[in-house]
Amino acid sequence: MDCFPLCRMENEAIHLEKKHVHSVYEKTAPYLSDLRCKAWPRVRQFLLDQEPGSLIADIGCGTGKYLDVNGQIYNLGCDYCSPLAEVARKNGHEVLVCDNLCLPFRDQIFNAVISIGVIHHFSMKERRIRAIREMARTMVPGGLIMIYVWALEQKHRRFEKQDVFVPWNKDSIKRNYSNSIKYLMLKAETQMNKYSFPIGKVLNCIVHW
Amino acid sequence: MKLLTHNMLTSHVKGVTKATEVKVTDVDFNSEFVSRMIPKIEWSVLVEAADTLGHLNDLPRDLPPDYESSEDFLRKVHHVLLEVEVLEGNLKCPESGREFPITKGVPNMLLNEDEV
Repeated sequence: MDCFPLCRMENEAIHLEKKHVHSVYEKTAPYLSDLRCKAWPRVRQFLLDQEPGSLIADIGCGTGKYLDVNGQIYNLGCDYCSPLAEVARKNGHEVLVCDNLCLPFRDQIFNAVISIGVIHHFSMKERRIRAIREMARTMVPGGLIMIYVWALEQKHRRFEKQDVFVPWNKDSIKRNYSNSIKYLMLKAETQMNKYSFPIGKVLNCIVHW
Repeated sequence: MKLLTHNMLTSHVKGVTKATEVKVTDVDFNSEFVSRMIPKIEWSVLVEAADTLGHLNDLPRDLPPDYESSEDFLRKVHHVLLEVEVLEGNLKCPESGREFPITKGVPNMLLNEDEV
């Protein structure tokens, strides 16, 4: 598989993601399954709008909350985190453990792909672009990707800068967890539009969490 | 791991070398769903995988031209694509020999740091 780190900076980015994203999800996976997280309406609708018999991938599916929205399509979940994938599997979903940057799928196989709360965990611009290109590779021409990320622009709070740690909401989990997870706030309007992809243009900009 | 999922993987890792635990489940049959899936399938890969798992039965090795009109055929395809699951086993890349484990039904396709 053709997935090589670019340089020393990327090795640092990989290390950062391992420490502040992957290990945090691994530790908190058992508690995530306790959270009755609701499927977001627009993502739900996107999935319900897919034609029956479509092949859909949820890249970064977590516990799999989007994998049973539409029973008329084949939903495949992928996550980097094994404990989360295991929870999704126990919930009856079809999942695999893999890397967004190196998807184990053939070209032009999916009718649609969703990436909900994932891209902002990549700490280098090149890795974010690669993640999106990799998803685009697996899609049939004319297919749609829905990408949701944290936006820097928020109605009810301000982030001082793009690259921040955000603590878990302790009220929503039973234990007193002091983990915080690293997010890269993307400037929704400007940055996503600047990423030019050969497969198409950005149809809509990402909304806030 | 269902055989439909297996069929979506890149050519690098198509082989299912060893399945130590296979489960058969009941999945509701939807003929339209199966008809629409068939054009996306690499047929020879599906046949070989089903055969390796001992679930080929009488599924034809070549795709019949009028498959959409044969419910009997569609039901056989449905069974192989959606009802046969590998719970424990290995996927082997025919080029590198690298094996990817399937544990509790979940294939792990991550490469180690030194392989990336």
